[in-house]
Amino acid sequence: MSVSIENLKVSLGGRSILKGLSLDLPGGEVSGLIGPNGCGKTTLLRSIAGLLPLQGGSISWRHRQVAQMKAGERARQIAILPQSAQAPEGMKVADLVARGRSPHLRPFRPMSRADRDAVQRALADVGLEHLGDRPVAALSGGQRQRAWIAMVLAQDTPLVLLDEPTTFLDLPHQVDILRLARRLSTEHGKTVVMVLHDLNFAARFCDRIAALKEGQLVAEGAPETVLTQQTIGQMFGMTCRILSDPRHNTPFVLPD
Amino acid sequence: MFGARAVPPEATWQALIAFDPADPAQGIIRGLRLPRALTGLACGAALATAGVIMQSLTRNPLADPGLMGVNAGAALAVVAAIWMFGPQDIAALAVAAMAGAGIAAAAVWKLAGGREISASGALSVRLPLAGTAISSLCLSLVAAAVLLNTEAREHYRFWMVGSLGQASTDSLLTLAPVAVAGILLGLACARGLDALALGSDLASGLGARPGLIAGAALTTVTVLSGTAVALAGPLGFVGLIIPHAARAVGGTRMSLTLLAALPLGAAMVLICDTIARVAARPSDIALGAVLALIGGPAFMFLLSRVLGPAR
Repeated sequence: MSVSIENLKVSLGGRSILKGLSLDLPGGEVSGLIGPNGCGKTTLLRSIAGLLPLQGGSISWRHRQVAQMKAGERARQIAILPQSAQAPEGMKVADLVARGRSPHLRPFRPMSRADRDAVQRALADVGLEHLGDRPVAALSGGQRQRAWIAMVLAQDTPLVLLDEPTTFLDLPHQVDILRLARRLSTEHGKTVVMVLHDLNFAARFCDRIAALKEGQLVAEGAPETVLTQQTIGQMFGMTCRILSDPRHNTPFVLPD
Repeated sequence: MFGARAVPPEATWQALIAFDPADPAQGIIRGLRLPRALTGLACGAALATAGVIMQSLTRNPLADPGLMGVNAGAALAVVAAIWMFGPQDIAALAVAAMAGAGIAAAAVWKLAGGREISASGALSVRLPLAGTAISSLCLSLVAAAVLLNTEAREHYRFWMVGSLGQASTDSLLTLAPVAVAGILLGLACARGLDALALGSDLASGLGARPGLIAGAALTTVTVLSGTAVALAGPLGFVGLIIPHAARAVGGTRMSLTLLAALPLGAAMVLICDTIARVAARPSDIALGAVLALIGGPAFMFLLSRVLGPAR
């Protein structure tokens, strides 16, 4: 019931990005991928989603090779929300969320009652049930991100991949979206893997963290074991102190 | 009923339900005006469908089916055919135009990067560039050819304006099934295009195959605009303007937008062709000129709406 990655090698445009990475992400938990820009976090996420050809190694989800799944079947198992996704002009919130149902539709058939119910549930889950008729463009940044997450919920997959879901949001909305991401695991029982930039948010909202540098794994495990002065020095070449958040008992990184 | 010679409504009706070959008025309806109207319908529906797909695929509200290089390729093929084999009847020119359109579109597709590029989502930038490059190449060859060859110039002049004046039952019967097949292929792509509108990563994540969809969609565009250019020469503005009206009806759902585009495109061409036939009776104005006179200002209006006020 986990994502297991073995000796993964991926190149983009002839440049080797992931260089033999092995990692296990347990099912039902929220895992965070952290690391400096260009370390391969997004490439790893896209590889797990089956969007990239692998040069070597393997990725399996629930003991099945992602590369061997058919496109439609994969889309019923794995949902991905890319960074700063853009809705087509003039699209309404409910229509966007309904796109999440596409892997469940039969060819040339309209949405069924069950599909429409799933869309309504997803809207209600993210608190947008009253805004279904609004154009996506008319929403605030935080609401818009909620709408995208509702689309992923409507896709109804056991594995959800989020690429920096908090980019361009202000602080309260970042917290809001990360709480929502956690609920995907705690309330909906999904396995969540997300790329995050903010180390302290990663510590607070993830069950485990994988730290990457130059396409290789630096450290992996519970936040308090990964976020150490040594790992952070190795990853970013930066010195820092590690405090403890007195309320949540999670590590807090304070750069020097 | 309308045209250089007025035909009474009764004769029109009689020609349609109980054709009497002895009556010249009925002959005009059956032999000239009916095929002309049906050709107009086919061209309008085909160009509008191609335009909707092109604008969705390139995510550019000002994209035109001509971006695939189809019109320029057809023009080059027509001129080349006249140069090499002398004056041709309209059916032979239609075949040449269709072949030229296909070759130009394939070259644009190849130059833009083919399936790999559409899978990576860079299509919206590379396709217009490749299309412009191939179109300019074809059109400069056309210009050179018509400057050197008087005969080609005379024929090309008539062909390039775009007109339904040469419409015949034969060419319509040959090309209508192609247009219908193209429209059906376009409708089959609708759901895939909806997914692709979210970006290629999300489309793949939703189980669509971006490379396959883009390939099928561009084949549709090529077939449809190729058919139209073969039937009537290059007709501008239909594929550019009608998609905006169709989206106002269909919203962000491609299947509805495509279905709305069919009658809208057909209506635009028919109305403009009727104007072309009656405005300067007893002679015809070229349909292309009427489309430009009406479409030009409409396009300016659209442009100002799409771009919004200057800030």
